Parts: sequence; C-alpha cells; structure tokens
Amino acid sequence: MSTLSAWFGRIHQSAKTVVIGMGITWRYMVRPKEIITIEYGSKNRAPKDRYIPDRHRGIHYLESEKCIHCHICEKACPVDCIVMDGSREPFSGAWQGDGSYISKFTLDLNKCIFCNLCCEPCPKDCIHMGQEFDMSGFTRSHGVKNLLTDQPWSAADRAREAEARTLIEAAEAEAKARKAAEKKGA
Amino acid sequence: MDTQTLVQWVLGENPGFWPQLIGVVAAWALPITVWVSLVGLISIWLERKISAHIQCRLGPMEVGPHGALQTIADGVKLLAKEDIIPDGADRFLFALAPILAFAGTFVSFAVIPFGPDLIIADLDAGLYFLAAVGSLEAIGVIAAGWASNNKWSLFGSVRAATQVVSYEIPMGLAFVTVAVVAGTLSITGIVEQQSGMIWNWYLFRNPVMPIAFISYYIASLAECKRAPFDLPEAESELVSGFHTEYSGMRFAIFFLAEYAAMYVVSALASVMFLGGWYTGIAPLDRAVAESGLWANALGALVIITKSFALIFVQMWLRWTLPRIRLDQMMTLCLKVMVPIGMFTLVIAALWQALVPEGAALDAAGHPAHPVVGSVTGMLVFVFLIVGGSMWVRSTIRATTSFKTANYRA
Repeated sequence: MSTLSAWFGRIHQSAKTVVIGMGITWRYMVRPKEIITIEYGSKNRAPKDRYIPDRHRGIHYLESEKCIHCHICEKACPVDCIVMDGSREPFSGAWQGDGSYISKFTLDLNKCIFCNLCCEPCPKDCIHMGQEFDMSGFTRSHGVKNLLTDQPWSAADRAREAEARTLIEAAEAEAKARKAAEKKGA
Repeated sequence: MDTQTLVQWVLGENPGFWPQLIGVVAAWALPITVWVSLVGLISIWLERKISAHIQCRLGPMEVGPHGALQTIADGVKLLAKEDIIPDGADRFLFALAPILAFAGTFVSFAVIPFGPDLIIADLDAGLYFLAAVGSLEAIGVIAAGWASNNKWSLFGSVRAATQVVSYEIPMGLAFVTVAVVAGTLSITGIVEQQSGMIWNWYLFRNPVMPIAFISYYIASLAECKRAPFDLPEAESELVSGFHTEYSGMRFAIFFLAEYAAMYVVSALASVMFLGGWYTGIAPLDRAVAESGLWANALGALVIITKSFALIFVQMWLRWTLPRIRLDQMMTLCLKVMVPIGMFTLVIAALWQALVPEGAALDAAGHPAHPVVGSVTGMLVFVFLIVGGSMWVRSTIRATTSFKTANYRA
C-alpha cells in the first residue's frame, strides 16, 4: 500500500462517510420517525396521560374524605413542609375526613423535595404524589398549597385514578393467583 | 497623499466630503445594516429549525408562526441584559473586539453584489479585497479572547488564529483558480463571464472547478468557524470559546457577525462558481436584461436564493458532523486541501492555456463560451469522479493495511 493511495483512500472514505451521514440527517429532517417534543403551555397542551409517567412525583393531592389526621405524614416529612390540624369532634368550617374533622392541611412546595416519604407511611393511603408539574408563581406564598381546597386533580382525574387502581389490583391479584398455581404445579 | 493633505481633505478643504459621506451612509450603509440584521434573524431561526428537525424536535414554536419571531424576542432579551465586563479584562480591547469582528464582515458587503447594478463598490480587485477583509474578523476574535482574561477564551482565540490563518491558504488558492479562469478579480467581471446557460457557470468550466468549489466551501466553513471546524467556540471543551465572557449586546454582535460571515462566504461561492445573479437560463436573463429594474430584482432574488441554499448546506453539515480535533483540522488543511488547491490551480491554468475558448462576443456583448469545451469538462469530471472512486475502492478492497493507515494520521 503506497502512501499516495492511502492518501486517496482517506479522502474517499471521508467523502463517503460525510455523504452517508448527510443522507441520514436528511432522512430525519424530511421524515422524522417521531417528534418527541411536547409543547409546554396552555394552548397546545396535550392530555396529561399522554406524557406524564405514572411514577412522576408532582404536586401532592389529598383524598381528604379518607384522612384521619394521624400526623404520620407530617412526622415522616424530612423537611417539615406539611402542617396539619384537626379534631375528633365536629366544628364549624371543618373538612370532613374519615371519622375526623380537619381544619388545616398545607404543604409548602418551596420546601418540598418530592421524596414521596409522606405517601408511603400513610395508613389510609390518602396522600399521593400527583402529576401536576407547573408550580411557578410570583410570590413565595403561592408555593404553600392548601391540600384541602387546592385540588390539582379534577373529579374526572380522581375517577380515572380509582379505575386505574382497581385495574392494578386486579392485575396484581391475577399475578398472585398465577404464582400460587405455578407453585402448586411445581 | 501626505498626512497634512489628508487632514485638510477630511476637515474641510473638500466641501463635498461630508455630504458625500452622509449620502453613502444613507444610500448603502443603512440598507446593508438592515439586510445584515435580516440575514441574522432568518439564519438563526433556520439554524434552530433545521437542528430541531434533524434531532426529531420541533424547535421554536411559540413566538409567531412556527417560532418565526423567536429571534426578535431573543434579540430584545439580549438588548435588555446587563453588559458585564469581567474584572481584570482589558476594558478597551474588550469593547473593541466585537466591533472589529463585525466590521470585517460588514465591510465585505461592500463588494458582495445583489444584482447587476446593486453592488456598492465594483472594485477591480474585489476578490483580493474580500480575502483581505475576510481575515479582519479573526483579529476581532483574537482580541476578544485576549481581552477577556480567561483561559477558555484565550484557548478559543488561539485556535481561531491557527484555523483562520491555515485555511486562508486553500481559500486563497480557490480565489486564484477562479481568477485564472476569469482573467479578472472584479466581482462583476467574474459574474458577467458566467452569463448564458447553466454550463457557463464556473462550476462546470473545466474538470477541476468542482473540486475547487468543494475545496473553497470547506475552507469557508473553517473561515466562518462553523462545524465541523467550530474549534474556537467548542462548547464541550471551552464553554463557548472566545465569547465566553461576553453577554448582552456584545455577544449578540459576535453572533450577528458569525451569521453575516456565513452569508458573505455563501454569496461569494455563488458569485465565483454558481453564476452569481444569472439564473442559468439564457433566454430568461436576456428578456429581463432589457429592463434595469426587473433585472436587478431578479438578480437579487437569484443570488439570495443561491446563498441561502449554500447556508442551508452549511447548517446541514453542522448538525451531521462531529467536531474534528485540532491536529485533524491542521492535517486536513495542510496535507489535503493545500495540495488539492495547488492541483486545481495548475490544471485550471493549463486548461485555460491549452483548451481553445471562444474569445468572440455574442450578440448581447457577453463572451460566448463554446458549449463543447464546457460539456467536455463536465464529462471529464464525471469520468474522473466515477473512475477514480471505483479505482480507490478496488484499491481499498485489495489491501488490508488500509485500516491502520487510515487511523494512523
């Protein structure tokens, strides 16, 4: 192999690879396989279930009708961003929980680290990480969410959540049954 | 003219000087400023859209239809930003650098034509002038890097100096090749010789002109510091190279200079190789040549279209190729492109001397190029490309030591 033909070979290979690369980028430019951008903002916003993963940790939401104001989430919170109060006895302006009457349930998003540690120990499974991600505001007080009144999820969202939960439970039960059957078979 | 006469001339011995200066500013400098800004706006938007679509994204979509006004929004943002000069920076040089960088590109527009009459200064040495002021931008870049008092900036400007000085050589060889073929350095003269049908374009003038065109194009990429030659502002290594410390409007002016330089080299490529303001369809050109206004309008449309087509290819290349290393950049310049430039120059000169050209003028007063000569040139070129690549491929397949030879350099 002479030096000269190696020189020509290099030029040829460079030109060839550039042309191949440009062909690939051209194909992507005129006919992309999939546009992966989802536009942010209100006017072109896609439905939530199309782009928020199920495990996303957004703003919390509270199923206050199940809450027993046991303060476990408040204690579990590593940054003390949850403040709650309530009573066993009904009083005026109270929020009806499960055998309890809640007066206050706030969550300071300025402090929150979205660690999910409040949701895990909840005995009634009533506080959840939601899918709402738009938390920006002009004041710090904007970040303090009253979870009793500020419900990022609509009634339709809650219904869908319940439906999803029943589906998941059914699937889990089925998997358990199948496992048990396999064990029996083995 | 000695200094005293010059001072007298400027200060009032020549009463017509100031009105003349104001006239030139009003007639040319303001429209060119507007055009440069417009080129910047369009190119930046185009760049973002092209990069986005190549990467399966959408790019700017919010401001205006398909984000067309995004660049204006960004420009307003840059105007409103704080103008920071870092501690320890050379304040004067720091302020001067973007002006120098922009001036080099802006002055080039003096000889960049938009149509048969739409050229500010039809210099006899237009190509030479372009080669001279084209490197002025490098001085601005070097000044920016030095004045910033920042190691990243300094590395960026050192790389810029290396790159621009090296790639002046293949670029200059391409200029000389064109000058040899044209017999003139005047931009108008070069374009006039490419009138007529498409095969009169210098791209097809002789077998080596396509090679000269590609060589010029690669060198112009390096001159504009475009990828794959964006070593001076390599984001992954040098933050953003020479303009690391710049913010606000000074940064915007660097950006504008870069995109204006892209337009200048692309317009120059279309002037030197792609027939300038001629459409390549002789009857059409002849029909509009009668009316001065329409000839200029069509000319402007044609040359801007050609330039933006070449700008598009620059962007396409940028989002295709990775950045090359410094040693690879120098190898490409000095070991590959300079020999190729020499080769094209020698062959073009020999072709000019040996192959008979039609010296007579046609009815319209343009030089009548023999179709036979140009077509022969095109055929020889195709033969060279096809035969050469087949020979090279067979050589590559015949040997196994190519791979190691390939990666050694």
